[in-house]
Amino acid sequence: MSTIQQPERARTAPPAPPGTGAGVRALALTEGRRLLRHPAFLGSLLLCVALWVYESVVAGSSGFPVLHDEDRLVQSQLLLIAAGTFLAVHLAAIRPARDGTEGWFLSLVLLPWQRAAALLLAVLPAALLTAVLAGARIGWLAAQPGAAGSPSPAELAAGPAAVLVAGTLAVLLGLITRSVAAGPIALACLAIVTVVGALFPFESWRWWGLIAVEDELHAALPSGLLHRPAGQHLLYLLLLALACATAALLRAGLKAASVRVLLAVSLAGVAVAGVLNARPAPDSLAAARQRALDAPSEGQTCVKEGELTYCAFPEFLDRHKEWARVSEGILRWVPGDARDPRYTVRQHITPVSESSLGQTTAPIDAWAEDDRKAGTSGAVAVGTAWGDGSDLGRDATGGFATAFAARVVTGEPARSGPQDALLCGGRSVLTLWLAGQAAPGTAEALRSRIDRSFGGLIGFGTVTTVETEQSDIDLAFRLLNLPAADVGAKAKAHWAELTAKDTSSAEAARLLGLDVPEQPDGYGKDSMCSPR
Amino acid sequence: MNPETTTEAAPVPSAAAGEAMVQVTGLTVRYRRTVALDGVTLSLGTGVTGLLGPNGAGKTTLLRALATVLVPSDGSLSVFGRDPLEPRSRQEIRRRLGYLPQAPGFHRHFTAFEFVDYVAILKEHTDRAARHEEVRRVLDAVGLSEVRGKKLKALSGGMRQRVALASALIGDPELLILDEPTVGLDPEQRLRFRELVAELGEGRTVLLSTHQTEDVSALCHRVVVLAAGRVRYDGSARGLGELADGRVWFSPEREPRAVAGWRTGTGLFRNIGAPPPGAQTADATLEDGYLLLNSAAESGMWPEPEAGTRPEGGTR
Amino acid sequence: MQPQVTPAVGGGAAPGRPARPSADLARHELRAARVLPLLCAAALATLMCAVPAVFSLGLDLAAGSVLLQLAAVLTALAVAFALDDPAAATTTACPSPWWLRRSVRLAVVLPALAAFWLLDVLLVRQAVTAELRPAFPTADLSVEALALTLVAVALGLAGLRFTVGQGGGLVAAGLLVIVVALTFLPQEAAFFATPDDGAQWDGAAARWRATAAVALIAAALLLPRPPGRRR
Repeated sequence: MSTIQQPERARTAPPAPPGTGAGVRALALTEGRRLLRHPAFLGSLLLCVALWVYESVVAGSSGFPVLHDEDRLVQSQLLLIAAGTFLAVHLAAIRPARDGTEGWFLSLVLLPWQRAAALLLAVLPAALLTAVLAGARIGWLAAQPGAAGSPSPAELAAGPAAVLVAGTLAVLLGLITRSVAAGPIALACLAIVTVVGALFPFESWRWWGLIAVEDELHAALPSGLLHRPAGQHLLYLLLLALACATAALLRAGLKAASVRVLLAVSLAGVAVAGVLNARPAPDSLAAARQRALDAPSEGQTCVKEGELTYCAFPEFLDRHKEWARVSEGILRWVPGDARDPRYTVRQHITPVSESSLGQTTAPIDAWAEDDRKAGTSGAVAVGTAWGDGSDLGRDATGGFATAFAARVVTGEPARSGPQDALLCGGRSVLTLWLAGQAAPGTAEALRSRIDRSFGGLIGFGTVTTVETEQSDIDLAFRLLNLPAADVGAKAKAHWAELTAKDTSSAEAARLLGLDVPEQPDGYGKDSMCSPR
Repeated sequence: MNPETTTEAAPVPSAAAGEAMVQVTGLTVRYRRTVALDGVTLSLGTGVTGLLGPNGAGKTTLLRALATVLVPSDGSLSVFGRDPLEPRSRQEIRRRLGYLPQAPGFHRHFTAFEFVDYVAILKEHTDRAARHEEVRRVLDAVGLSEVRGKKLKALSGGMRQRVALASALIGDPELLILDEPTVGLDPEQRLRFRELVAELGEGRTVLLSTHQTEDVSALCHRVVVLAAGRVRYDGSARGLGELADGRVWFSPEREPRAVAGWRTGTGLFRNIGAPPPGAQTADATLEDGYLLLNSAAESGMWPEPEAGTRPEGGTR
Repeated sequence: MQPQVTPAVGGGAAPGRPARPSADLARHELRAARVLPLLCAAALATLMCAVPAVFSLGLDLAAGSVLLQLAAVLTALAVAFALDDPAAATTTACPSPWWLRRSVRLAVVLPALAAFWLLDVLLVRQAVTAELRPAFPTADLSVEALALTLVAVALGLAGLRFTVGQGGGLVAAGLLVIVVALTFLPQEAAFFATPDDGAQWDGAAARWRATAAVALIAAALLLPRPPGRRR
């Protein structure tokens, strides 16, 4: 065995001078490194990233993101990382109690509260990493084509703040009880609180949780109409983390009056911020929403391209290129004399319904009035959603295509009322064909809507509805199988007949080049389209 | 029976020249209704001191009090001339202290290097390079350099014990408190351990609590025997062994008169006490002296001090 | 007085006779099992289910089923801890078979869980509005709870093999992660659906039944295995 040389004092560098906190920092670095390597943390990280990859690459649902909505969707996914951090930090906090080293470590220089402080500091790198991930995700989404709006920094910071809360809470829990079971059970309780908050997406008390989930089935609103007190919520989370941290330090034996004062202040701050946070939306917001719903022209900007004018809320204005693609795809088969001199596309929001089953009808008359005042009568409505990745997006795309085609074919804008929304006969076939061939993706959008619908009447559109019969849809899809140029040429040639009210679907289909057998007046006995 | 206690004039390195590293005066520790330590008084200087005693004698309690982990109920304690009850002095003491507890726990997922490094950080060695150098040094000192990178759960019990010993050696402490450090070590490892402690004992104060009387006789100049919270003997190791001189004999049958006796593997009984005339005597070891002392104390027969010598500690 | 090393009279069971479950074994196994996490989790779950009933919140089917699903996850988590056996290394050489000891534990723990579940179901049914009550999918939700519990048991038994008796906590965490992952599955493979959506609910219920069967088989296979791999 190697004999120890009597070490001179100088060879072993002396430990750090007391009171500088260098020991705590060194321990925090070590614990932080262990935390980042912990399987629970890494697993949750991988799960979160895998989720994003799946959503974007496999399901392809990130096209046309609305960034001021995406920044809060990111929060619920980052909660996975918060959960992993919680478990890893909890295991580290109860490590001395679990492994029986507590009695030994009491004889070492760093006091128990200093060890707790180091563990609290070790959560910071995890929160930082989460912030980087959130930034990367939003950055990637912002780079997608058709991204609208801009993300809110406070919303993005809520994810890392939740990680901070999870970490500090785990340290506190580990100092209160040495049971291993407490960690997963506490985590499950936190998850329950979040899920229950998600069940009630319109209650203001859900802001007391870590994240406040919105009703995600609703189409996006312009950011000015959202009620998301994200800054206050971030403050709430940070104060909560501070409260947990100071409580943990006190529990670990730090007897400083300043820390007690800090705990009291942060608890008070949590209460105040929570109450402020949970206030219901101000009435001015409700009024603004109503105005934006009834008379959106005040808040919108318009851009003119050729004979088409597109009016949209400023954040969504870039979408007009997509709308233009669809509109022009429809207009190319309309003969010159049948066109209006000007077509307008105006963006509308859909009313926010608080009940899960309620369907509120769009105020079409108010829109018509507003259009008239703005000089854009006969505007076609389009919503805030778009894309082909989600059902909502597909419905929006197909719906706009159908609405524009209906406008062109019937010469009238959409009307409210079930009878007025119904298209029958040749018009219906022509509208559907025009919509289906307008741009790549519209046919799939229509098909997706059909697959999810039941009954003989199928409605297209998220803002306004155009209803058609199943038989007409079948004919239109058969037409879509024919080369578009041929059908389009025939459409242009026979435009007047095709758009006449009394042309039947079978006649229209034959005019467009489909071989339809002679049938006694294609309306079945349950048809809503009675012969006029 | 009058076993003698002698405090030899020959080197018993305790309380040398007024520079006692550790001074314990009337230390009392009570746990609810049990008295773990009852008025213990001793002082320690440089060198290796052994602490013997039956289970429950208060050895671990005494060591924990000296390691500043335990707050005594009564009495005073001075380590390096400072009072461990005062927080700043306590931290100062802890910087110069190395403590190896009984049955130390381990973080099983740490590697040997990581664990000793962790303890080094807890001892506020903040300079990373110097700290790693120190960790390598202590692991080398206990002979574990090859298994530095192995996880603790993959090491044998003896290796883990050596890791704990290495952790106690971090920072080259002036006072080493080792509570049953040779548990789980095989004889060869125990040999190395003895060499290590012997070298450490030069210029440092080492207090070693153990059940292995061979370790005490091999290493320690001075022995303190605790029983029921009191000091029964405080003197040289040789003196303890000499207590049983001429009082150990073999017999073919169990001797009811013996203070302590057991059957050896050969079938003969080894007895300690007052041998009958003509009995086959054996050489007394330190263990014999210890057993004699303990049983005499238990049976209430406190050794009568000869004139001029006094057993240190204990009040009767 | 020398201690008696060899017993005067041969005591205990004659060697070679297999052990039979007795009340003594049940008492000891119950004492050894970590039932506190289980009781805490079950109590929390019941408390959670009691809140809507107490405040007469008038839940709909979707909310009620989500509540019961959460309760099921919470209690399943804690079942993993009940199988923990820190003394496994010491008792591994005893002849009493492992399946017996664990079955005794489960035989005490599972009926208690079932009683809590019954209470939860009653509370939530009470909280659901009266006209929706007959349509409440109690049977499907109970299968879900059973499946989650069986998965916890199977994972716990698997964990014991790798950690020689201490695995409960880690397994619980793993279960939590699995459940969270299940919530993110796409619509076609979803495990957590709402009863309003008939086709999806039936699909999810079928998946839960399959999971319960697989977990039962896995648990039955793992039950007799000793903790820690035999080298």
